Amino acid sequence: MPYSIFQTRPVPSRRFWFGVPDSRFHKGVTLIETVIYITLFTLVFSAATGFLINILHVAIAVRADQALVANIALALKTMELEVRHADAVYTSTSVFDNDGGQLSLRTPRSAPTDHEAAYVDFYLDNGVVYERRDDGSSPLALTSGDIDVSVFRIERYTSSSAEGVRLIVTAEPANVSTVLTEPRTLRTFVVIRPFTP
Amino acid sequence: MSSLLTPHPPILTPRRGIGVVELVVAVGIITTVAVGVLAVGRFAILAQRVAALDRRAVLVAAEGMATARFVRDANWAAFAALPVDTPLYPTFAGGAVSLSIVDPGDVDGVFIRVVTLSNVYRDGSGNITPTGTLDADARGTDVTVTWTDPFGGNRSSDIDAYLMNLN
Repeated sequence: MPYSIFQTRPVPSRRFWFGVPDSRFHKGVTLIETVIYITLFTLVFSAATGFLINILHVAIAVRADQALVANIALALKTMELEVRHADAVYTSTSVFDNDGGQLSLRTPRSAPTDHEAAYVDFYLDNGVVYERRDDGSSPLALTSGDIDVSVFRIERYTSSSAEGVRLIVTAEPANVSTVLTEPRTLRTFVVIRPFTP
Repeated sequence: MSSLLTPHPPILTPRRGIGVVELVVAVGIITTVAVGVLAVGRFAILAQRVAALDRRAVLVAAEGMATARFVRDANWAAFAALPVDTPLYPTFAGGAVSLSIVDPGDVDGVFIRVVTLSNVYRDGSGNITPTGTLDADARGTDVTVTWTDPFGGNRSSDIDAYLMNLN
């Protein structure tokens, strides 16, 4: 039934809703509404911010982990390629079964004009794996400064007619909290098969 | 009685200020959006982890194939005598490389690596066929690496090759 303009507005029966003033019967914003709003907003904002920061940290760690794996894989691939071309493992300067190992190879690749073969070393120095050739050039870093290599292990396996080298590299991101990351170990096994014309 | 003389518009629910229901709805919307954004972020992170595991799996599989090649190079007769169609596991122990029927456990606690050899048959033209004459100087070699990705799905990486008697 429509109200007459001479009638008063209906008197509300409930001005509170579970103890909270119902704004339909009040003008503006009450103090308690503001407090509730600020409390809820703070809770949601804090939770969202916390989650976001956590996710960002994890994202950084995952990206670092991905770069770590890619970096180790590339270094292993470079060494694997060199081993495949090598004539033999130069055992005199190689260091086997040691976490700070060194692999020395005798290879026909890039041999000086008056030599049949060149020598190339792979070794660990201060958390970085280097390649050094005997042509007087500076050592080449195979792993970046973004990762810290802790294990560079060379295992040599031989039989009467086969020789293989297992390369094991363990590293972790250098500039990311170790709480969120963990060392990664990648390895490869390469069979040496000298070229015999 | 002045109210009787003062006309008021017939508004039953005048809406002024912020109501609790509005507040709850607003918080709900904000929470839903935040949870959605975080879920997308989590998915992206897990996808990157999947990619990293894929890259590692390729190396693990390649090492398995290299192991088979080493065993082949070391002694073809011993390699050819290994059981076909049976799971074999690359093993590095005691300075020796072998393909063992004993499972040494998961590689890095993540990957299961299995090498399976198979007989090779050829037709009259020397082509490899499913049936025909057994080629005693060849073995089909399959390296399969399986693992569980961060989403809980099963993934695998596979390398196939024919290994010949080079002696």
